[in-house]
Amino acid sequence: MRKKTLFYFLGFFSALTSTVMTTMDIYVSAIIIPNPWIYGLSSFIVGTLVSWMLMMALTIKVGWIKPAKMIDPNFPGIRLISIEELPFHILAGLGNSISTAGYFIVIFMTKDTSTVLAFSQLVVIYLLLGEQLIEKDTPTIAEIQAISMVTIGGILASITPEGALNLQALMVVLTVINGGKLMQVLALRKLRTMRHKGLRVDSINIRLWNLIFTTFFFAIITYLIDTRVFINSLNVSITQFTVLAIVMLLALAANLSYIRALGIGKSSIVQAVVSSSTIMGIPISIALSNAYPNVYPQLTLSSVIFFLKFSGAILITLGITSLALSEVRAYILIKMKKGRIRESLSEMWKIKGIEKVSFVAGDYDVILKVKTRSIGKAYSKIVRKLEKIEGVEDYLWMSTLREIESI
Amino acid sequence: MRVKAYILINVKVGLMKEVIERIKNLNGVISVAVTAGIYDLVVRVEVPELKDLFHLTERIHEIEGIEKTNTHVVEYEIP
Repeated sequence: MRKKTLFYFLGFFSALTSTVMTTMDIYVSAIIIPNPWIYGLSSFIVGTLVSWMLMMALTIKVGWIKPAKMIDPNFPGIRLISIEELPFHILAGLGNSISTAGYFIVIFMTKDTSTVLAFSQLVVIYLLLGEQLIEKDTPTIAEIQAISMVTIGGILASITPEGALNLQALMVVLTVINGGKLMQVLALRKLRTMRHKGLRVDSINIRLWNLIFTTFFFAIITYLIDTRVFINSLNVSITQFTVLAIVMLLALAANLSYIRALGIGKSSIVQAVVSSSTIMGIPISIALSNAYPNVYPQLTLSSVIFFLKFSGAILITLGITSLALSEVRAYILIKMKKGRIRESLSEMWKIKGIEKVSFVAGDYDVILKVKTRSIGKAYSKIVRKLEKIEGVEDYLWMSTLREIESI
Repeated sequence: MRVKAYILINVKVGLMKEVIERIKNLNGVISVAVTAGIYDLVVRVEVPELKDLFHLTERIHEIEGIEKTNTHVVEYEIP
């Protein structure tokens, strides 16, 4: 299969698997395990167990390769996390448990896949606004466009069949779910840039340990809510093992294909493709409400409401995609003054928009890889800061017209 | 992959498409960027040893259209 085809296949597969998993969540929480907290904790317990066992199995050599390495080539085998990684895993686990708690509350409230999937995309706005705040920066047109489209799209996609806005559910998503997700995403981002014994930290270990910490914090949350839930969850983990294992394996499949897609192509495009789960959610919701009316709420939508929800889903995907595509790349070739290298390198790394700082041997001393959202930011964020660095004698800006990456 | 390098290349006018097609498939080539400026292509490579870098440069020089290459071996990088 050609790499590009594989990339899009993995992205859409991840989106589809997430959608199916969400619909199964609704079914299981309606019919089999009515208490969302019991369901949540037991699915994490089973999920952690199943994921660890599966990854241990995939670490065994088949022929001359370890299957796990096909998912992430950086995978050195399951290992213990280091002291440096610990605080970020704690934050990521805490954030994941909070956002999952909110997720189950909303599932319980709305029983509607499309609503849940649409709202969860709003976390992209948080990331954008968060970056703006940290930089004390004015947003670019591309960012304003993306934020507006995703917000409006989210609200439209969540319109109930009766034509009302589900404000309660929206509140839970905006505060609990997206707040927790934000914490998790930022902590995971930091983990992905770290190194352990010289190698880049791999996604599989991150995922496996994230599950452990998430289960731990989720157990604490449920224990605080209702101590009986805790005992019941342990029971349910055993009695409903098969059902839970299926749902959690779907979650693992979605996550692993997402990880593999990230290894092939740009993360922003992966995000865009995966956000198509919002669009997939709508026809699936309708089909399910016809097939299982006692579980999924009646979604006999008038054509106007259907059009509004569908437009909302498309707006979300468009917003995220347009953000993904608005990218300015460049290489900067730098000649340094004698003897000013070390501090200069770390100062350059701190500049927002610099993706890689390489100290090289050749005609030039340093090559910087630039990735930023608009050409205007290239001057204000990068060139101005570069001019301030003492050690820089001269630099050449080379805009990238096209970049072809291979793995 | 222990040796990383940036190879800055100038391409003969009119042969860009063919050059890119042949370079991107070479073993060791991580990315090929078409740039505006003093060089036409910035190629990032990663190979096990310095002698492999030598072989890779040889193969690049076999490609018709390559006018000049300027290899910069990475001594240290963040991240």
